[in-house]
Order: sequence, then structure tokens, then C-alpha cells
Amino acid sequence: MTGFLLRRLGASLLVVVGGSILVFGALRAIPGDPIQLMLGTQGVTNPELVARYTERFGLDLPAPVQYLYWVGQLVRGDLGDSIVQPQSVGDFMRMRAINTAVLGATAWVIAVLGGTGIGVVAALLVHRRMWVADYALSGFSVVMISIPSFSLALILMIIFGVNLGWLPVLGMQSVEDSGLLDRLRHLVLPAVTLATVPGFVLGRIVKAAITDALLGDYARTAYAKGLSERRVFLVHVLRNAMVPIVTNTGLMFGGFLSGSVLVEFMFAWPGLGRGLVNAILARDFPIVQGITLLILVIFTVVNFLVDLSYGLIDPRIRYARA
Amino acid sequence: MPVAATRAGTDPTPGLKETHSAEHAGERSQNDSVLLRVEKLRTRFHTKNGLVRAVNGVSFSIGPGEVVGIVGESGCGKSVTALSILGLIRPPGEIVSGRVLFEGQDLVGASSGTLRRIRGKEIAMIFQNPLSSLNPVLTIGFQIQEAILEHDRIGRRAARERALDLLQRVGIPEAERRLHQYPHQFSGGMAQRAMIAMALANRPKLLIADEPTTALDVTIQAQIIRLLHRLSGELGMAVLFITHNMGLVAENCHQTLVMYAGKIAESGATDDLFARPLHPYTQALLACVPEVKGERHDLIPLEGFPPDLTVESRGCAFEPRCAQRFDRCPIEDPEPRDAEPGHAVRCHLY
Ligand SMILES: Nc1ncnc2c1ncn2[C@@H]1O[C@H](COP(=O)(O)OP(=O)(O)OP(=O)(O)O)[C@@H](O)[C@H]1O
Ligand code: SF4
Ligand SMILES: [Mg+2]
Repeated sequence: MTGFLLRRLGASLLVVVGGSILVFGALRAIPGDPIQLMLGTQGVTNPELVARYTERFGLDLPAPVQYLYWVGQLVRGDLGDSIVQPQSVGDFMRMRAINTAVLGATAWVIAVLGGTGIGVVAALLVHRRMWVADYALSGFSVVMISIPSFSLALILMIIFGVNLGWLPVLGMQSVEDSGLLDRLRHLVLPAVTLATVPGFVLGRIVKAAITDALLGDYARTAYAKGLSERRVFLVHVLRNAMVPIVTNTGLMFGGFLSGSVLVEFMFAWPGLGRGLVNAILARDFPIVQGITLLILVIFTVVNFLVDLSYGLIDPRIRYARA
Repeated sequence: MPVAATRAGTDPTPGLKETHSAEHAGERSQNDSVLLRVEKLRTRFHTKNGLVRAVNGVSFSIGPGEVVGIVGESGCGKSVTALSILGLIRPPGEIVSGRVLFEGQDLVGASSGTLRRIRGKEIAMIFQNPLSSLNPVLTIGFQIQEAILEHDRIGRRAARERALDLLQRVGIPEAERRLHQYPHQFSGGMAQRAMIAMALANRPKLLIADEPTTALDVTIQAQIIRLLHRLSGELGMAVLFITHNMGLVAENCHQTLVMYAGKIAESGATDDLFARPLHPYTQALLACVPEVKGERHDLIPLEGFPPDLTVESRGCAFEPRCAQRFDRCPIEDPEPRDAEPGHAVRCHLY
């Protein structure tokens, strides 16, 4: 088990280092100079200013040296300073990270609960052979999965924000009122938009897992023991169906990280995704590097936890590793 | 070939007499006592290709402590018969008609509560593939204790003790340790022993063993059969033993049912049936066993194929493959009749 942990840890570290090098190199390979973008016409008329700023951010050094310098800072807990914003990368990311986490966590809860619920209901419809309802639910799922999230965002905005006027459509809170309820109301539409695709995808996975398990030999054994339908379902079927559920809730995280960029943009949510888009447009290297590093770390940590949790659910994996 | 004289007045139902049960099952059984009586059972499946008449009018009975074998080619309806007894047929399948009388109580159409009280308590079942029949994410101990606690109001500790005792009884070494293990840590033979332990948890009166050794190595097969044989004797437990293997039936069963295309082609006391196989299908099956007393008795496939069960045949289902068929066979389906006392056959020759 220790060997497994060490191997996994090493692999995770490689992913983070490799990913950060890739981002670092790509930023410097694409056209567009951050200092000139920032200074605009001022930079054209005043090359000396450009040179000063370039030196100030170390952009005149060779890329590998810049990278090592960045890593050196990182080890001391410093992500550097933003080129465009008058603040450090750490300060820039802190609030936005919290906002994104709030949005992502809410969406994750909605997707897991909703997706599991939809999957269980769909599996029961198959089990009870209620074909019409099953087709209707499957069809609805397909529609919801294939709808592009910007269309969904717009539809939700128009229905619930404009026509019904129930929910706010922009930002995190109102200017005048910033109570908890107000914040929650702002959270609903972006979180639902973000949760929709992963939720319905999870629903299909859960449905398939439960349907398979119900037809399995061990479910038949459980019935042959005299167990009730409910007990067969809760004790024997659901636990087996948990394995794919957990795998996929882990994978969903990737979807949230990328999905949040668009959703934050659409709903003017002041999170990391929006920060990343703006930083890329402005070629604000330190901010892009900081945010992508965080994403890489979150990604590997989540995958690691998911891997560990399989073993808790499925003894076959636990023992294969031991 | 001349048509065999129809014996007017013969009871057409295969009234199997438990000629062997008295001597094998101890004092509990008498000649006329019946534990399970299946009457004219019909089970079918609604499939894309049509209605599959998997079990098409099967009748037989099992006395207390009696070991009854069902043999027949793959797809003839052995498993469906077994599952129908326990009410485990699920859609698209259904029991269309017939009765399954267990100690006089009809299980066909019985409430789910009644069925649950019988399943695992009065009638237990083990299956062909022990490893997939055990839940992979629960320990063996949990699965056995669950079977106990479902039917017996005893404490967890007592249930654990009984589970331990059961594992020892079915010959699983280091039972204490095995209790905490998961199915994937068991070999096929050990898993089948664990399944048997689970099936015996509530001392059922009838054990249905659906090809319990087909998935196992030959040497392990023999061990499992010996174990079942011993336990059946020790507990006075009746066994409905389903197999492809004529040799196993000959050695272990008091009564034999030969099934073909959802019907019982021939049935009778094992000794009579093997000494004088009457039905051309039984004769063909025996001819396919290279050496009845040798090591392997699995059926070599007969020539031809079993009939398509979605097509309702007018005549004898075996007719297309039968070497002794005559003009009457494709026209009229033979009714079962007693060719000799307790030995019934479904063929126009008798
Ligand atoms: N769930 C099902 N859906 C549709 N048809 C089924 C189903 N279960 C069984 N059948 C059909 O019923 C017939 C009898 O099947 P059964 O499993 O009883 O055969 P068997 O005698 O046990 O064969 P084997 O020796 O291969 O186990 C077969 O034709 C099979 O295709
Ligand atoms: S009734 Fe069937 S088994 Fe008997 S001889 Fe005719 S075809 Fe053969
Ligand atoms: Mg079978």
C-alpha cells in the first residue's frame, strides 16, 4: 500500500511539473507581448519604459531561467506579481478561487444528487418495465446532455431571469443587498447550468450500473435468500453500482474546471475562470501560470482521492494493490 | 414399426412414486408423502423473436429427503423450471399456468411475503457459477449471516457463530479467517462450498442445485458432489439436482427426469430408467455417454438441434431427430404414460 501511495504521489508530481512547464512554454510561444499590450501607445512612443517593465518581470531572461526563477519563488510560497493588475497573483487568485469553489461545489452537489436520483429513477422504470416513462426520461436526458451550455445559460436567463423574474442573472450579489439569501439566489442559475451536463451524464451511468447489477447473478442469489426487493436494492445492488458513480463524480471535476470558464463568463461570476480568460487575453503570464498551476494541483489531488476511494468500495481493487 | 397399443385408462399424468425415498431419506418420509409437487407448470418468455415456451407442462414430485435429477441438453428448460419453483422468473418471463405445491401450499401466484418466507428458509438454491453468484463487495461472512438473520430472530453474534459452523461443515479450512474474506479471494470450488453453506444456513427441506459443478474442475466437481450427497443424507434434505452429466445422475439421484424442449420426456426411478431407457431421446443421451462408469460423463452433443421453442409443434418435439419416428409422430404430441409402475415416458412407442 505504501509503495502504491509513493508511486501515485510521484506520478502526480510529474503531471503537475510537466503541465506547468507546458503552460509556461506555450505562453511565451504565442504571439503577443504582455508589456506592450499593457502599455499600448505609451509603449510604442517610449521603448525605454517597455525595457524597464520587461526587466522588472524578468521577461528578458531565457525562458528556462524564468521558469526556475518562478519555481524558486513558488517554493517560498510566492506566485509573483500580476503584470496588469496592481496586486500579487496570490491576492488576485484568493477571492476568485473562493468564488469558483462556491460555484463548483454547489454544481457538484446538484450534479451528484440530481444525477444519482435520475439514474435510480430511470433504473427503477426499467425494472418495473414502465417503458413510456423510461423513453421519455432517456429522451429528455439526451436533449439536456447535447444542449450547449451557453444556449442553456441563455434559456435559463430568459425564463427565470427575464420572463419570470425569479432569479438574478448576473454577478454574485446585488449592489444594495448582500445577505446570504441574495447570494444563494445569484448562485442558482450558474450552478444549475454548470451541473446540467455532468448531472445527466452521471444519471445515465448510474442507470446502466444499477440495471446491470439488478440482472446480475448475485442479485438473483439475494432474491433466492428471501430478501426483500428493498434490501436487494439497497444492500446488494446500490453498493456495486457505487463504483462507477464514484469514478465519474471524480471525472466530473474536470468538466467543472473547464465548464466554469464559460459559465462564469456568461453569468459575470467573479471567479478564476473569468480571471483566467481575461489574463490570457492580456497575456498576464504570472496570473495564467498561477491559475493553471492551481487547476493542475486540484486535478491530480481529486484523481488521487478517487483512486483511493475505489478501494474502499470495491474490495477487489483494495486487495489487488495490497 | 407398429403403433404401440394404447393402454386405455392409464393415468396420463406422470405419477412418480417415491420408490426410493423411503430407503434413502430415513424415517421422516413415507411412501406417499410429498414435499414438492409441480403440476403442469408452464413458463414462457416474451422475446423479440416470439414467445419462448421454456417450460411447457412439466409435472413431477419430490419426497422428503429424496434426490431428484433433471438432465437434458442446454436450453431444454432446466433452469427455468428451477427458478419457477422459487417464483424467481422475472419479466419478460412469466408462469402461465400450473401449480407448485410445497407442503401443500401453492407457490404460483403466492404473495411476495409468502415466497420470501419460503426462499432461503424452506427451499434454498445454488447456481452454476458460484463466483458471480456471490456479491463481490460483501464478505462471505456477511452474506451467510444475512441469510440467517433474514429468517431467524437471533443476534448477530449467534449468527456469526452459525456462519462459522456452516463454513466448517462444508469443509472450508480456516473458516474463521475465510469469514472476513471477499468472494474474489475464493477459488471456484471454495466459493461453491460457501454458496452451499449459505444455502444450508436455515436447514432447508429442499435444495435446488442448478448445475452446481459445471463451472468447476473435474476433481473439484467430484468433491462438491460428495459434499452435497453427504449433507443431504445428514440433514435429510431433499435435493433437486440439475445437470448435463448422466453419470452424476446415475450415481446420486433416486429419481431421474429427462427433459426435452420444455417437457419431461421420461421419468422414473434412476435404476429403472438407466436399466431400461424407454424414450428414444434418453437412449440417445445414454449412447452419447462414452462410458458410464468412467471419469467423464458429460453429454456429447446429439446429432441435430433442439427445436425452436418459439414454434409450437403439433407432434412430438423430438421427431426431427428421432431414429424411431413413425407416421403418427409429426401429427400428434404423445401424452406421458406409465410404461411400468413409476416409470413414465412421453412417446408413441409405448
Ligand atoms: N430471461 C430469459 N429471456 C428469454 N428467454 C429465456 C430467458 N431465460 C431462459 N430463456 C429461454 O428458455 C429456454 C430454457 O432455458 P433454461 O435456462 O431453462 O435452459 P437450461 O436447460 O437450464 O440450459 P443450460 O443447460 O444451458 O443451463 C431457453 O430457450 C432460453 O433461451
Ligand atoms: S413419439 Fe417422438 S420420441 Fe417417440 S418415436 Fe415418435 S418421434 Fe420418436
Ligand atoms: Mg441452466
